[in-house]
Amino acid sequence: MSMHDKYSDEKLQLFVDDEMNSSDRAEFMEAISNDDELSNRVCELVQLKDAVRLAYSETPESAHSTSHRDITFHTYNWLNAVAAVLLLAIGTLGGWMLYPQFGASNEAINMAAVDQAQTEKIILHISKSDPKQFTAALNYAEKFLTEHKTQGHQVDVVAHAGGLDMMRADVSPIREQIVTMMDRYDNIHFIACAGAIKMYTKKNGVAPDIIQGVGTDYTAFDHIVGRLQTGGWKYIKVESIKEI
Amino acid sequence: MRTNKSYIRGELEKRRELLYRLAYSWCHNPALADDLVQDAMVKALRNARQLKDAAAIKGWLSKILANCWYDHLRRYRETVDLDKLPYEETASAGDEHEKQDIVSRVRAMIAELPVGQRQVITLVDLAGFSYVEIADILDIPVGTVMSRISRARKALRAKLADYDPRHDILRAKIRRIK
Repeated sequence: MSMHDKYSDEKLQLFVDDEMNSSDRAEFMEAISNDDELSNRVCELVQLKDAVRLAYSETPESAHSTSHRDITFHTYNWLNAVAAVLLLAIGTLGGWMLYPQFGASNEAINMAAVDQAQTEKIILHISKSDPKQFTAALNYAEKFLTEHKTQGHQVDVVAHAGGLDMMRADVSPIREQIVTMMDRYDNIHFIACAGAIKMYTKKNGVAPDIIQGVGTDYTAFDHIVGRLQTGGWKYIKVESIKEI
Repeated sequence: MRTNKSYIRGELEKRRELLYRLAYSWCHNPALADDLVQDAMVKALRNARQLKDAAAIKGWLSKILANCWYDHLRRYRETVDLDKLPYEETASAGDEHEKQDIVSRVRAMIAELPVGQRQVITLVDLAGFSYVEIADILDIPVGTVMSRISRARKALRAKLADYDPRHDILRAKIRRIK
């Protein structure tokens, strides 16, 4: 039985809506930690939820409500946040990748969208063992933090599946840069998926050597879904951004 | 337990924004959404004694709002099949400029969903209700809630996949952002 058969869309729906029972959830978390296709399907659903929330995060003025009088349509500022979500969703769904002429500036779009929407918190999610993506994630985070020096801005870099290599002290090609960034900025956190660590340990008989200071308490998806549910966080899949 | 009118009045003030957002996501008409919320507020105060559990007030108010919405639909239709009926009122889409923006596009995708699907997707994603709570609010089985959410998300995903940025103002928007 394939993963797709085992985990139907309906089952994924239970997960993203926090309706999955604890035993199913534990099993699902283990499966998702090492399965890119499954994690991408979950990401699509999370992005859909985010798109719905953002589409109605501000509504047209209510004629009788004083609480709405100063809201009206501030579309310009938050429009770009919706655009970013839409672009990510389209990219994940395959359509976006068909248009390299746009894809080339995808990172710039995302960064600009984040700026204009005044989003202060971003999650960079990496799931592949690809040094180019490690560097792209780090450069993106550094640029964001350099350009957002006031308080309140935060970056979480979350690694799972193959992306775990980014956080491994023994193999990460950017170990020194990660340590330097953690020293330089208080508002960046690196998280290695607890599920991926567990899978690695099970497979290799020894726990991976994770860079000191990297968080290992939560699974990637617990962390990401938790952040998105609290609001104010923008999700960015690292493979959708280009090197800076 | 404080289920008197003053308690409910206070809760209504706190929750009015969410109720309005829900109503707007169902009808996409600011004036109608406002009327629905007003009706729901009046009915909630009138039926204050029916609230048995103060902790359930968010669901109770949403249920009243949903019933106000059904009443509105019934005034325009003899029979309402919530799984099939696309709501046709397009007051907010009448603004040509608004039609062109991306927010309108996402909203339009949701507006194209049948009413039943639109309600469950907004109740779960905007208001954060559980499936059981939604089943109670809409007076439908939990299984129906799940199947409607599933169908709604499949439809939204398909609409997003069909969304071709080459032939849309999204392209212009991208240039502006750059």
